[in-house]
Amino acid sequence: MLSACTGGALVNSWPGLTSSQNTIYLANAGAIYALNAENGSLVWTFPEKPDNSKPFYAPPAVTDNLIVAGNYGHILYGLGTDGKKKWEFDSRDGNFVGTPLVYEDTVVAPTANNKVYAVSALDGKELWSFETENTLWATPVTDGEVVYVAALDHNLYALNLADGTLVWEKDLGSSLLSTPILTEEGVLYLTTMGGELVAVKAADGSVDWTVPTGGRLWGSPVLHEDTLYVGSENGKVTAVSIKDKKIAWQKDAGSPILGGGALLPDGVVFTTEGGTVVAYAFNGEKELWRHTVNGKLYTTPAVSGRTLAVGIMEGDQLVQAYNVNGQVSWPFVAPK
Amino acid sequence: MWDAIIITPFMNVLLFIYSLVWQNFGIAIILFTILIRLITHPLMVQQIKGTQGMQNLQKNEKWIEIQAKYKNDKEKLAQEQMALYKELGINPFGSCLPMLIQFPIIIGLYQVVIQAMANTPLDMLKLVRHAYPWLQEMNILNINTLIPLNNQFLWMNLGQPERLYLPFLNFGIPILAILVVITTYMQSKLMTPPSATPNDQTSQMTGMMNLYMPIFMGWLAWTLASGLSLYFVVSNVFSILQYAAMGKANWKSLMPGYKPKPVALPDAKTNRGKNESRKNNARSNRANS
Repeated sequence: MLSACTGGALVNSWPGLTSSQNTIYLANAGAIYALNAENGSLVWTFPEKPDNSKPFYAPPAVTDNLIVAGNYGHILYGLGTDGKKKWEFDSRDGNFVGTPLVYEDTVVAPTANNKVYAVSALDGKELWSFETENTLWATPVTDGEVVYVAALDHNLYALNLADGTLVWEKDLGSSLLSTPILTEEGVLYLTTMGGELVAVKAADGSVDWTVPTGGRLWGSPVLHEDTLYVGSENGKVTAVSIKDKKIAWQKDAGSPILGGGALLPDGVVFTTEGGTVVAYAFNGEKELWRHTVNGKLYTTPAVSGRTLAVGIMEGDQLVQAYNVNGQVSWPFVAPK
Repeated sequence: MWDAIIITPFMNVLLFIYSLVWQNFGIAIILFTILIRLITHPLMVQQIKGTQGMQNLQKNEKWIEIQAKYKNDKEKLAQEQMALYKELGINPFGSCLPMLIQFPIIIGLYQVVIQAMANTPLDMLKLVRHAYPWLQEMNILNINTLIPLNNQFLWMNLGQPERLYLPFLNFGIPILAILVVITTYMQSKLMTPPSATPNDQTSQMTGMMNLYMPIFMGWLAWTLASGLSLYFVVSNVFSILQYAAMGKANWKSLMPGYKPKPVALPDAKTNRGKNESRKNNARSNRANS
């Protein structure tokens, strides 16, 4: 969710990251950069000449043959894996702050102007739109029938993926900034600005359980086996057992956490506003490794193969990569 | 420092007002603007009085005399001017000092309105961090449940430029931008007194400013978030009312085709007579006391 931000319509964003098998995609200011995950070399840039007046706040959605990225100039682009434009959709008044969802031939894109749009993944033609009461920054999730949209208006919306009609909505008491996790068991796990980790039944929107974590939650939870991991603005990493519906362990990372976590082979990694990248073992018994970079880390880290990349705001570089064991790998500096 | 002194307190007051007025951000902006304008009212009164004093000075015979006499000796001219200020009890900074004090407050008000509308995650982060934790602990202001602020006011999304769309028109009418132009023009016309020397460079520049400023403000209102336009309109209207309440508004200047009469320079003898009389009165008052 919180992949990129700004204080205005000009270059003031923090880098947003996403990944595919071999590539790290970076959204920064007026461009999307595709980086080789092995060595950090620049593969392509879109647009070729970055336009900083229309920044990309969110990293793109990536599938095998399509990359979809929206900018703050209300344009959603469909790109090939070579970075060439296939289509574009102009929402006219809806700026894109959150990463869209691509499901088969449908792209579902949230906008900052209270609307979620569904467009064809083939040609970018509008299929339907649905208006909420406030801004949408979170990437929707779907089970193929229903698409679930978390909104800042405190509501979680369930919409029919085919036509955008409302199935149900649920007020969760405070803003929903991050992308929910949808499990095969039909449970949605999501975080709230009020600091709660919430389990919601996808069938009817009823709340199964909530666990307060003690700090505002901006990033998505990550799920490993039967444990959810979240980082909060009070600097705590919290592990919540789904079985017990309570906190399993809590660690102080030392600085506010705004992004989500990422899974490593033997643990979970979070980044902090103070510039720390810290990995904990799944059971919380030990801190696996820790690095500090010069700059602020607000972005959810991206993992591609054995490479972990973090996006840096106000730092010497835009991206710092590590291998999943915590050894420092390549940096990426903004092209001049 | 700026945030701690101006932005954060302002933001908490704005959010508190917002929580009191049914979470209507439009009403909160209106009330907050009026509140700040009321608090700074004494400064505005002082500024108007100072301006008036300086304008009256331009008509003073002695002032005119020393301008002519020492026009080639700037140092002596400054000395004589200071002496005259002292003699007439005028503070030359009486008009600009209150304005300088008001300036950061008005800038802060503007910044708070922008930041409160938080259109992006980084803006939102700044917004929530402005909230005093102790207000939350005392259950006075719970920022976590209060946000996002409800930007809808009448037909406007206060976070976006405003247009009113009517069913029979295929374009939007920028009502607030039009109101900003009108009220800025009214404010500048009403608050600009007739000049003693309408053809001099300063008066011509003032006239140009009165013309271009409303256009500039209208352009800002056209392009920026309508929450700011609302602030501009309320601020302008309140300034006009303040000025009118003090009996200083020159309503005739709004009439079409109105040409201000140049203020006649005072008759030297009469002026001298008045000065003499004032001095005599002062002496007599001192004697009585």
